[in-house]
Amino acid sequence: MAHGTPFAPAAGMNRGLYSGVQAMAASERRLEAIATNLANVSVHGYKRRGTSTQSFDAALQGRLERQVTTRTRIDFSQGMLEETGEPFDLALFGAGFFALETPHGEAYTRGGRFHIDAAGLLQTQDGFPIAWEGGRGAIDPQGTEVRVDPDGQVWQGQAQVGRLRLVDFADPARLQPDRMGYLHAPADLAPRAREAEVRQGHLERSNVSALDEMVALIATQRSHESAARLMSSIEQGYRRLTAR
Amino acid sequence: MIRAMMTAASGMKVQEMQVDTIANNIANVNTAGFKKNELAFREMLYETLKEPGAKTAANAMSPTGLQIGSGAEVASSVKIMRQGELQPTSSTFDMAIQGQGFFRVLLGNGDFRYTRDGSFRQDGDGVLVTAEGYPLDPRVQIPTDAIEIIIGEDGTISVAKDEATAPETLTNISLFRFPNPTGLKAMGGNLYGATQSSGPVQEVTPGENGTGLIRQGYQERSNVAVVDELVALILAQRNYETNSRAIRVSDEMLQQVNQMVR
Repeated sequence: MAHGTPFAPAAGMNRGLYSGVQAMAASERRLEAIATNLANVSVHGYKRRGTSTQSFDAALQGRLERQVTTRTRIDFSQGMLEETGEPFDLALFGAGFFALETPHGEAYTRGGRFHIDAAGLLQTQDGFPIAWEGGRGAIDPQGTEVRVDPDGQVWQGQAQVGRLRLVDFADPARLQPDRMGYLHAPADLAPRAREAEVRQGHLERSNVSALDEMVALIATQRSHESAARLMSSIEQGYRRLTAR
Repeated sequence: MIRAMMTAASGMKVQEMQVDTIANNIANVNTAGFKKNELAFREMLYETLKEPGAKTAANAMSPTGLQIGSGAEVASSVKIMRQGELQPTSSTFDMAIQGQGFFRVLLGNGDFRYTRDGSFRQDGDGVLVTAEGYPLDPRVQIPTDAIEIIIGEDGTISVAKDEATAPETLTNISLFRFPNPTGLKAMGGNLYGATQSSGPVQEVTPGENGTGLIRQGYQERSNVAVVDELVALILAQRNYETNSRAIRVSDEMLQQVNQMVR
């Protein structure tokens, strides 16, 4: 636990305690991310959250302190496609998102279980309409079968209904989930050409691997344990000091 | 740790609901006209502990922040309206719909219900009724002296009274369609009720505008594939297990904290 900072005071054990607390807080954050991933393993289009823990020097009250921070990052790798045969189950293959119209501006999702309401409006299970290039495409709910081609073009019989709005971003890691898990883009996030193709009659499974999460779970538990051990040894050191 | 436990518990609840749904599907594998249920899940509530772009120190900025979800929940259950297999039967009044549409039946209280279960029979007056005795609507009354009854693909019912004369058209069976059939409410007994989300009902002639055809002497089997359900069941069980594992680890980590100071 040597920090080696030139301005560090000699209060060694005390600093060790703080390091231990930071290590335990970091494993708690990791544990929460793992639990979130495991809970969402059956959510279509869910993207796993990875955590990274880093230490850095922070200038605090005129001296440098070693700090530990944990961040979550969304892992946007492709999930497995599962065939369902439902006409409005749309999966994306490759990088990109469906755009949705919400009261809080445009939102993005990869979860592709859409429904069509009585007026022929294609929407998510929470009732947010899907966004189209140009005007909203009107599907005739009483009409013939709807076909969606890989490019996002929607056809009903021989008639072209419109094209779904598919987007991607230069740095999708900066997208922010809202309370329902839909992603929102900050104003300065640059759009980029999407490579995603639509697969009709498929759903994208979550990209959570139970095995990887279990391994991470064990590693987190052990690292928490070592930090806890460290703190008990420091505590024993104090005890010896005060017993004398 | 407490939050991780709650998150994992939400994951277990979701898998429990999944098992309930699968059990209901498997129980109805032999119910004529049964449409299987599927659950749609969604992520729950994100809490932002650190904003992306927040300053972590004088010269450092967090590019991704720290956001912790609080698990998963069931968003909705969806009736999968896929066609079931048609199975030949020996009954004259067994009808299966091949394609879109529902039969309509009239309840005792004057309400309408919709069904894909086309195993009708005659009551004492020759009226076609369901197994529960609800009459098919529009009402079909077969004359008692009919010796042969033919139901055409387009819903035409023809009746022959003796072998010498050609069958005469008696009446037509209509089918009923909804803009959003997955929005129908299952009322038990294989019957569905119209809702706001299913949209207004439309009476159609079988075979027109993509509406299904009526097949006499067939029954539509349920669209439950037992193998798929069993695979889903195993998956649900394993996911339940991994989530319970996350609870155990959370508990053990909490225990380590409690044991730090003796």
